[in-house]
Amino acid sequence: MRLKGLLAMGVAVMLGAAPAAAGELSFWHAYAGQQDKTDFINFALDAFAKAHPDIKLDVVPAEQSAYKTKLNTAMASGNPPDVFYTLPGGFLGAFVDGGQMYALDEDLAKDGWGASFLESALAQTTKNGKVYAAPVDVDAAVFWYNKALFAEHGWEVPKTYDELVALAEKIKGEGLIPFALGNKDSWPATFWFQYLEMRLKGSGAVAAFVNKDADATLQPEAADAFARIADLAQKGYFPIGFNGMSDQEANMLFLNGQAAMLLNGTWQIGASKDAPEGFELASFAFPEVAGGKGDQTDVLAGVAAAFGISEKAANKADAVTLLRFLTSPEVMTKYVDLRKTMVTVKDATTEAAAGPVLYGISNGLMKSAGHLDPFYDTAMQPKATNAYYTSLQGVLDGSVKPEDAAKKLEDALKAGQ
Amino acid sequence: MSKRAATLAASGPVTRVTPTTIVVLAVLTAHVLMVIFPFVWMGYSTFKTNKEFMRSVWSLPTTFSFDAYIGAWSGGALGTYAMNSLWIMAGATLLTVIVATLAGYALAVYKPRWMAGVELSLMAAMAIPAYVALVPLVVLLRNAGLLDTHLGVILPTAAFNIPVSIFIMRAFFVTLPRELFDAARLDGTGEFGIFRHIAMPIAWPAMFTVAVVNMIWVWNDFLFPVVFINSPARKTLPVGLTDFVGEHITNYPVMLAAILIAAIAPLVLFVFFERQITSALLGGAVKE
Repeated sequence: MRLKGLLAMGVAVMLGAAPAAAGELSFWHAYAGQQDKTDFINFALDAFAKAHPDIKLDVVPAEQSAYKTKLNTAMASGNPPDVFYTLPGGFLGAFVDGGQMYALDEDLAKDGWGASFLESALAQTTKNGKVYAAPVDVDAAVFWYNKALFAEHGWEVPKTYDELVALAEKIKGEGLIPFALGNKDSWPATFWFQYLEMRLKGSGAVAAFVNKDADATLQPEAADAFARIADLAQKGYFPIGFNGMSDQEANMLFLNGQAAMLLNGTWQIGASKDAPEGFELASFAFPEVAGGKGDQTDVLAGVAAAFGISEKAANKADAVTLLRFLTSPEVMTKYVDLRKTMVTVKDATTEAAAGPVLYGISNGLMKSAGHLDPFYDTAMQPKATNAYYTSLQGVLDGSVKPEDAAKKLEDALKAGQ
Repeated sequence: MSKRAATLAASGPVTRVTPTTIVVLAVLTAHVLMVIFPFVWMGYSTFKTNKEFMRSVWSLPTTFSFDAYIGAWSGGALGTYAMNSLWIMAGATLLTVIVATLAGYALAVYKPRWMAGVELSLMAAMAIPAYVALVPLVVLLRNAGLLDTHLGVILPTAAFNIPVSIFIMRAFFVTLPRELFDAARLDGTGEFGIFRHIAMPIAWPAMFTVAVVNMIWVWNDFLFPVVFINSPARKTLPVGLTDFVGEHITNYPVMLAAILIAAIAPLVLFVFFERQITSALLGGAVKE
């Protein structure tokens, strides 16, 4: 009797969880946990509901790190949402390899949708010759400095790497921290390694591994790049305990004037919004490295997020409509305005929406760059990313020799080919 | 003379303030301050603006603003999340205590021949990390229609907590003298009657221990609720609190205010049941 009741309840619950009705799409995104992100998605979804009242959305938001666990589990269990937020590179690549992503090429060819994106951005959501997600925003890593602090002390923006190191010594001598760095989550220090590798060897080193180029290598420059980072750490140019400090904690040192510079992504503009009085944000390019073989104007910049459609989605036409709406110039310009981040849609990063600091980067640094090299850690396979993170942390705390770190990273990249 | 030293002097064999008591009191006072300070800091930080917080993490607020609380209350449905957490906690704990008491009693009192096998399987179950079971559980819950329901969180949570709870209960029942049950049996009491009227009343403290430990685990659990629950209206508190932590930008006073609001329910529970909880935890630690 009791068992029968339970069974009946189970059946009832099962019927209640019937698949989404026609004209209904499930949409998962990671625009939560941060005011500018929620402001954007609320704006976009409200506008979508007005423009397409016939398409009902079943929206599931989650904060970035929780989102990754959630989406990975849903994908692995064969229960993907119809339309969803994804990271480009290795994260998306795993879903493509599993045959779970819908290729967008035919839709991109229609009505100039594909032509509205920057080619370099579409390349980062392309695998085996097909585009599997619509890229949204682009982050670039640059040096940020506190202009007011520089003026007060009479410091000048360095043009070469040697000048940068000399400046760091001077700043340390005056009792301040030269570079704010909080490497608890492992990604903040990667910008140092990648920029040095780009300057010393050239852009595209990790991309060669991902594209299964047999001659791909990071050597011999990788050991030099690691050695320079070890040197900076040993000289005490980073905050005390930086390997256990979060990026946001390190940011506080920068914002309240205890640290002078920070190598970080363009999200720094949003993160500096609540800076105390007397702080003035400005940026400069990663300086030239003497004798480096790479193009010294290259910028570390990559697609931060993208939207994809699941192969299992029942209603692909509506899903494409949603993607086209989200990546339309109007919505994307609003994105720039609210989040102070560059977007992948051509001409959507307007001066009015971006503000002077971001527009300076988008219209100056990015335009004059020889190449844009996407973030190594997201471009490579997740397994190699782990090797990358641990060897870099080891080099920073002095427990791993630069040559050994270079070899470990190279081996991990080769194994993933 | 401090009040504490006076009570110390009055209550026990310590009649004089010796250098030892001063050292002990100093160490304890330092310890108490270290434990309390984070809470005090959290409290006064909620009255700062994010700008003030960025200027100095430790400084006291210059103005007294409730904006952080308004932001926290409107930023997420904290009340709903708390109710959801409460339901899941109650459901999973009740289920675990019932199963663990019955199973622990049976294993301890009847000592079945296949007990070694049962013990081994329980050990094996305890060794499974929750992450490994995540994907199969999602498939299972979807097929059962329990994905995105509270029951869908309660059942796997209880399943993961039951093995260790059985061990705690069994360890308690083993200490009871067999004569107790034999006497009841001679008086003609049925097996369930023995359990209900003799074993259970004595086992009450142990059951409470298991319940308290489970309540803490379930209340703090993050992994199962974040993966199994999709609807914002069914989220639990720990998952809902992530709405206040940004990837690159966090409004700290608002986040701290949200944490303080979220801590009210367990805090009130603890204040009311402090004696029972501490005695339950001690009762679990020491066997008669």
